[in-house]
Amino acid sequence: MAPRLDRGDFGLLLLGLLAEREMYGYELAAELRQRSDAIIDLPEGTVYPALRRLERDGLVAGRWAEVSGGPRRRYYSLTITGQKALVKGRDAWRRFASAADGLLGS
Amino acid sequence: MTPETEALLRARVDATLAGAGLDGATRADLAEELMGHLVERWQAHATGGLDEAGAAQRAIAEFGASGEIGRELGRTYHSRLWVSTIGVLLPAISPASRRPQAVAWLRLAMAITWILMAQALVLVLVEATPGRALLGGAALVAGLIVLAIAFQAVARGQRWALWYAIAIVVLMVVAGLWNTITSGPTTIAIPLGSLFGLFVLAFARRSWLELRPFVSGSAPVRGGLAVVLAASIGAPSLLPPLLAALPDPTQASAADLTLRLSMTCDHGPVPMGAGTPPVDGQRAIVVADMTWRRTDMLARGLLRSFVPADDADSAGIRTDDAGPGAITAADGSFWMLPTDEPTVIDTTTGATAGWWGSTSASVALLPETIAGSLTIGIDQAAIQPGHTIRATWLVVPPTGMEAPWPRFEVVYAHLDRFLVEGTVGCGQTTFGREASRGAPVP
Repeated sequence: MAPRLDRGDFGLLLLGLLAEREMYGYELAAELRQRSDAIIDLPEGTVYPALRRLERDGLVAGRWAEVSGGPRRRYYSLTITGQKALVKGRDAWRRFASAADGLLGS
Repeated sequence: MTPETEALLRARVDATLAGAGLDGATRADLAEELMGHLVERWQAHATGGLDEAGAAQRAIAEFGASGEIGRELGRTYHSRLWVSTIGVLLPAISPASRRPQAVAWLRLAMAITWILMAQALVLVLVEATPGRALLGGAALVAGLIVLAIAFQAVARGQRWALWYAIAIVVLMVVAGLWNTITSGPTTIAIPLGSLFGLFVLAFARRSWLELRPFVSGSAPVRGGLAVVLAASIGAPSLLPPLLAALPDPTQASAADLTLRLSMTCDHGPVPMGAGTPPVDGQRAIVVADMTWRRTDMLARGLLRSFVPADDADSAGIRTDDAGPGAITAADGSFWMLPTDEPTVIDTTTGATAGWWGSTSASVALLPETIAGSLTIGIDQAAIQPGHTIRATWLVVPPTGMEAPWPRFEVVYAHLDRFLVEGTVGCGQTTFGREASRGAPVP
């Protein structure tokens, strides 16, 4: 039985990545895969509904940026609300993970 | 990147966004973002050594299922209900510029059907009893909503809506023909609906080669939604007989009426009319006590409940068994009502609750040999739960004759709905029970 991310968890991971710097969708999908050693290997397109949901909820802000020789990119950055949500979400996640670890044993 | 590869990637973006039901600006914004992703991924694979087509296929595969991502995007911008219905049923598949002329005719047929259904809804709401109005109204409202959605969807190239429209037109043809067949030999009915429907079907058949590609890009509708759509096509046609067959819990039934019959037989003064002194003779006094456990709620529907109407219950009496050796009617001797009218009163209040000789529609339910002076009308307003309405008949044989004591049959008709019938003899107390409807009075 493999653990699965729900929408909220996935959004939290995106907020965590965006706390480092602003990124665009393709970049976020690549970072998720690479930094989780491909354990989190979701279809790349699923990043976009999650990003749009975060934007709708005011947790991230998007902006278009021109790219020489390529299509425009839509960069996302954390808002103040997003930073607060990340702090709360991170704490909650750690408590949850700690509790789950305790239950699962060694 | 070749135009073919670009078209392939763009088709995936379009397919992804098709089910999301987005407004123009949001859709364009997302289309650019998703296309940028696919192009960049394609470039990465192409740089990594894959050929152009292979890189495109890999980029598309890694992007994920278009339907799932589209639905997720739909959930972001719409409610869950919207996503599970409108988001599936209404996405635009084909542009209006490619819309075949047959679609316009199909939509006209749907619009006509919508108006007729709306008219039926109004009638049901104002004329049907509350339970039936609720059930019928809900079914018709659901049908109207689905029809309105299908009306829009067929113009956007949705396959389900095309078949829905065709089914509606087929029903239009069948209903028109049925009305003509059942209109009776003395009525000439021209099935205009059928003729129009046949024209639309013929036009659609001739335009099939245009219609098929117009809807070919749409996703099939499956599961519960497909069942609901299919049910909504036939439900309005099946509604009238279905509603008539279903009992309405807001209306009283025969089980709510207790008809208690009693009869006393004696010799005593028989009234002979004004100015003539009573003469002693045989007398049978038949008493029918009608007690309702509960009464109808808005029995004549919402609208008709507020306008005066001659909707009364009826009851009647006839000789059930004149007894052995009875003098037959052919000899001019049978039991009959003397000059005194039967009385109809509310036993609780003593108030008059009816009249001699019913002319209400309910009298048609009584057996045809119970008519005219043998009937009484019972005022609907006088019928109240727990109250007993008592009808009393004094019945005598012809003056100066001695006849065997008869048994009488008493029949009660509630509106045009049900009959309760019982028989009673001298010194007996009996109870009526629900009876099948008799032949209507001509």
